Amino acid sequence: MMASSPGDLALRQTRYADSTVSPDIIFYGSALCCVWMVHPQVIHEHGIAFASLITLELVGDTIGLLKFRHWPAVHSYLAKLWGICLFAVLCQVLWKGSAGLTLCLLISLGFVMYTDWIAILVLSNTNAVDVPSAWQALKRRRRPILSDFVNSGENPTSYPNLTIF
Amino acid sequence: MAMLDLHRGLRRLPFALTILRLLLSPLMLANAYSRRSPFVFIACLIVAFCLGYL
Repeated sequence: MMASSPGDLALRQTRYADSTVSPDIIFYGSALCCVWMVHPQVIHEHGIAFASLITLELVGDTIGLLKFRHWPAVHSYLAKLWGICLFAVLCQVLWKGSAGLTLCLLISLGFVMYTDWIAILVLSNTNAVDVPSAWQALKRRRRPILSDFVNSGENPTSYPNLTIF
Repeated sequence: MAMLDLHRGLRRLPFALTILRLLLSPLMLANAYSRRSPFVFIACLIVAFCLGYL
């Protein structure tokens, strides 16, 4: 058995496992429960927005499962930015008990991020793994690249417009 | 042989980090239920954030 290169650390299975177990969803879900237990007024003030974001998350997961038979593992740039902002705002809320304008900005960014995420899932032909943005998904839809097939496990020879890089 | 073992160990590292991140959730919930120390919340968030980006 040959040893894999260090670049193979981010394996397809690892990326899928990271999304299938969904540690982020479980962790940030429990963080939301903590906010509800410690500072319930924050949840009461922004309940509809939180419920909408959770609904968008479920919609994206459903699209990914129905279309690709896999949990989505998109890892877009906006999702990474959302993760940084979520961390900062959660720290502020759990420390002070309120976040005000920053929480409103986080919720707005969340709507933009989930729209981009769902657009990526809708636009992708193959399983969307590590797609930076919806624009990139649209470009790959027109002209797929080899890594799309490596991530999805499909046979690339059936696609005539394949770009190898 | 040692390099092969190192590679195998490194390939398991993301799964270990994922499990570690999952263990932080009950810790946060337990803290919210009993002590409600903001320091524990912030520590859990920082560790989870760092593990997530590793």
